[in-house]
Amino acid sequence: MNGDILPSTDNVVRLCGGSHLDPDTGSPGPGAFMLREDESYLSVNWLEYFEQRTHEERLLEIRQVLANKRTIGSSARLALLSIGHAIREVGDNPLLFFTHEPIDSPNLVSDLSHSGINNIQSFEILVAEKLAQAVTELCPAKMDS
Amino acid sequence: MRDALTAFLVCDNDFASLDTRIERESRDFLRKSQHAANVSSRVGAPVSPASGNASFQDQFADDQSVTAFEELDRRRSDTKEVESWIGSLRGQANIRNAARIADRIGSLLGLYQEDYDGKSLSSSSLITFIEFLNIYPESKFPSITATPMGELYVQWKHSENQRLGIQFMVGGEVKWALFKKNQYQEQLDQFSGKTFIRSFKDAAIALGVQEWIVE
Repeated sequence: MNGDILPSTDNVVRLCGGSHLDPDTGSPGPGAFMLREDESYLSVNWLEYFEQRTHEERLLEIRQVLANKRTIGSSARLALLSIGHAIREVGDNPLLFFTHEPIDSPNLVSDLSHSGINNIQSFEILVAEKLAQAVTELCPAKMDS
Repeated sequence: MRDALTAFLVCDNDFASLDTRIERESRDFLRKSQHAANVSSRVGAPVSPASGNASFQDQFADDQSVTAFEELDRRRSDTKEVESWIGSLRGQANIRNAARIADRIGSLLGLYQEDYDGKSLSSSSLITFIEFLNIYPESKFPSITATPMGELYVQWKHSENQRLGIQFMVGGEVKWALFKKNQYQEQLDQFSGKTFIRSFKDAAIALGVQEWIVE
């Protein structure tokens, strides 16, 4: 982590695969907000990186980037988190911080809105539970064919 | 050896709870073997070629080998063992919602493969969950999802935001998180811990959430 801190008034989305969604409610479970073994922060995409766009246009930009990076299942969803709300939901132990972590390398698919949720390792299960509760919007992650 | 060292590093990144950490017991191999044997005898071992969990574990007697086994389990892309354990669960008449839970885990397996490049759910996690269901055969049908590592994350939702979440891990261990309304201030208290499955019932009784789990 070495990126700029994101404003608490902004929003991020987290890609949630179908295996992390409750089939009855469609909502993401805590597993959607847990780290993979090689991760030091949770990967998300920052909506307001795309300036002068509508909300739907921002989501479309992010869907396109994600589709270039990996296969997106039809059941996958983008879970929207308001940064300030998410930080308040988790509280001060641990205090989360959201950073801009753009991916812009010749060897990787460019992902300039890529960002991270930091400082969750120590209390991962509680943080994951709270972040799952803090989701304010869900929408399909896969591009329309 | 390289796998074993890698696995040790992964497992050493231990969990520290906020409130009620139950100290992780030492990696007592005999206990793990007993756990595996108990589960096998209770639920009937799968018949797949990859079904030799207990006997495989029995061949090793040091911590590093056990963690290497865990790592291998996690990386496994062969779903036969998980499917076999799902079939075993489905046939357990003593578990009230066995067939429905088995169906859910079966569909979850497909979703997990789609999300994680064909990798399988953790069979060790499923074994731990089956052991839990044998302790709580009257369990309500819970919400079952996966963690990125392929473990089962199971939630019993009580009311409003009150809920109990349990992450089933290898070797009969669980991590759990509880959000329970404070009867005096109407606020949610939060508790979490890490324990062995057989000790979890004591915690559930002490915290007054037994009835959240069973019908």
